[in-house]
Amino acid sequence: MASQRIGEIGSSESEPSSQHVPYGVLHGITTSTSSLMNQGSSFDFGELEEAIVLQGIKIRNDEGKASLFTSKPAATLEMFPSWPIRFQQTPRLVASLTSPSLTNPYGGSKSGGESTDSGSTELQFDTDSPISVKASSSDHQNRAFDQIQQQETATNDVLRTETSQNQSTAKSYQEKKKGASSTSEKTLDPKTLRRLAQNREAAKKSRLRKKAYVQQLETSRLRLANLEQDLQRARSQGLFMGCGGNTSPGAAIFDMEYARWVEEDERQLVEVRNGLQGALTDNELRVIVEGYLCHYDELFQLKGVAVHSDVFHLINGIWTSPAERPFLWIGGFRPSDLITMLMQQLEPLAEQQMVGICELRHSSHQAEDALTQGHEQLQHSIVHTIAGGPVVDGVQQMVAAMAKISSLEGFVRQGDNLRQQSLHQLCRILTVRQAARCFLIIGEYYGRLRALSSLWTSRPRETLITDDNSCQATTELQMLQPSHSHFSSF
Amino acid sequence: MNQESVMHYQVDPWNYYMMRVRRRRMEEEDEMERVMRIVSESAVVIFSSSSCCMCHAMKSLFCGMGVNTMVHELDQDSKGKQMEKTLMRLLATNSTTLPVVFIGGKLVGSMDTLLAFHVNGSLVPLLKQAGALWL
Repeated sequence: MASQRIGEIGSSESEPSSQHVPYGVLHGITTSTSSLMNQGSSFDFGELEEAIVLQGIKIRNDEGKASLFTSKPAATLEMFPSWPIRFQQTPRLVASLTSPSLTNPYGGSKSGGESTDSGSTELQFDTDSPISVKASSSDHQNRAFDQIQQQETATNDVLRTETSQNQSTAKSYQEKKKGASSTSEKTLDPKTLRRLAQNREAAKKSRLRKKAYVQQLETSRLRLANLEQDLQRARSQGLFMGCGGNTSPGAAIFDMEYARWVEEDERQLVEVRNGLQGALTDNELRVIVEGYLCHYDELFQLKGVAVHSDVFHLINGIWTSPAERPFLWIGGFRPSDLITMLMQQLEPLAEQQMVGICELRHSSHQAEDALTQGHEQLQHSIVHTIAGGPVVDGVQQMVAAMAKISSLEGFVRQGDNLRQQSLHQLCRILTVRQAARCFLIIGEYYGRLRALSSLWTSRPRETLITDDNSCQATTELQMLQPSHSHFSSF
Repeated sequence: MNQESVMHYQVDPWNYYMMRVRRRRMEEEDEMERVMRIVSESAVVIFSSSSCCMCHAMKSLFCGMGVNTMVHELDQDSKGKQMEKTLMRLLATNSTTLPVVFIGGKLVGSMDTLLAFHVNGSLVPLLKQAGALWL
């Protein structure tokens, strides 16, 4: 690379224009830091000069070269009259820093650090040149860029070794450079002072900017962690919060309230379980059972409010866990199915109770059929209204459709009413202990459905091949073992 | 009657107002009588609307139980609106709550009361008592 530079010097020096002579010499000079400069470009030697001033490099040379150096700024200024020297040179310096020879030893961290500063910083950060960087580090005591400081010192060491490895011609140039430092160190003209001050300001600004950026990164990292936690919690409950555009406020409120209800339900379930396992009197159990009934009444009240605000949300069942959705009937569970399930579990029943429960199942089944028929007719009627005939105009059609939606609300209300009445009647038929067992069974049943839902939502998606499905199922079953508390039978 | 009211209007607004109130009360009584007359005609009487789907559900429920019901479609009755108002007054509600069912001449209520009675187990005895259901 050094030889290449020298070659370029030769070619540029052959040019007749007087402007290029100092340019060529600049090139020659830059071979001292040859590994840094990728491009043949103008280079304000004044920056190195100031850096050397600050650093106090001891190598002094003949002052005859001072004239050469002092003429430099003028020459370079003439070359790019529209740009101040500062802005013109620093991109080159930055480019030099990002050259492979420099970045390789440090994995690009230093130059990366420098280049992550905002663009304007790069332009103003005069102290980008390796030696001047070290200079600024000594100048500005309280630096936020400790890492960069270390890297700078390390870089400087490498550069020093590199410079020491350079050819003798390069060395002579280096001596010339050092020579200039001795003179300017003694003079410290106002220009240099101004430049130094500007350097300090620029460095400070870039430090502040970097601090702000880092703070921003930290806060967004915290926020991301919180969001992930919330998402995890929501997923584990088997709930799906629909995306903002689709959920109405009524639906969102209901989802929240339902989530709270589910938490309360789990707590009550634990209470019932403890009540059954412990030796509680019937009266105490009755208190628990009635508490559970009130808990369900609260749910129906919540649903009553939600029906009015967003009936479609209740009907589409997105507020339930995925595994519950196939069994949904007009926005909730089907009472006769629940009673059938309970009958199987509550085996030792007295004759009278058996009769009572069978009758309850029969009557709720009849009511369900009636409501289903009415609901179907409503659906046909809505389809007919929306499809519209040739006679009906748009506004009338919409008004009729809206009226039908309000009758849909009526159906969901009646469905909930039936569910509530069935639960109350069940508690009337059964003894207190049986009723407690009943609630325990129901609670566990839905708990298992929710667990199944969360298991299903978190299943590995990549295995779509049927061969893998079997081993997938086994791994899932293994996963089920730890959560045994969920599945405790009694 | 009309002339009298007009005269009173010109002379005595209060009296005219009182006459209007009395007339409305009489009409309401007429309506109530009419309703009572209708519901006593059959064991189970449903006041419904032909386009209402909940009414259809109630009809299916009785059908499924094998109960013969007399259905009075208010939207096809000339005085349907007034009867609906009467029913609303009977149920002490402001919203239109068709269907309304009477069993054995007595008011049962709208769909939710009926379902509650049915789940409760008290509907069947009531029907048997009214003679609408055998066994």
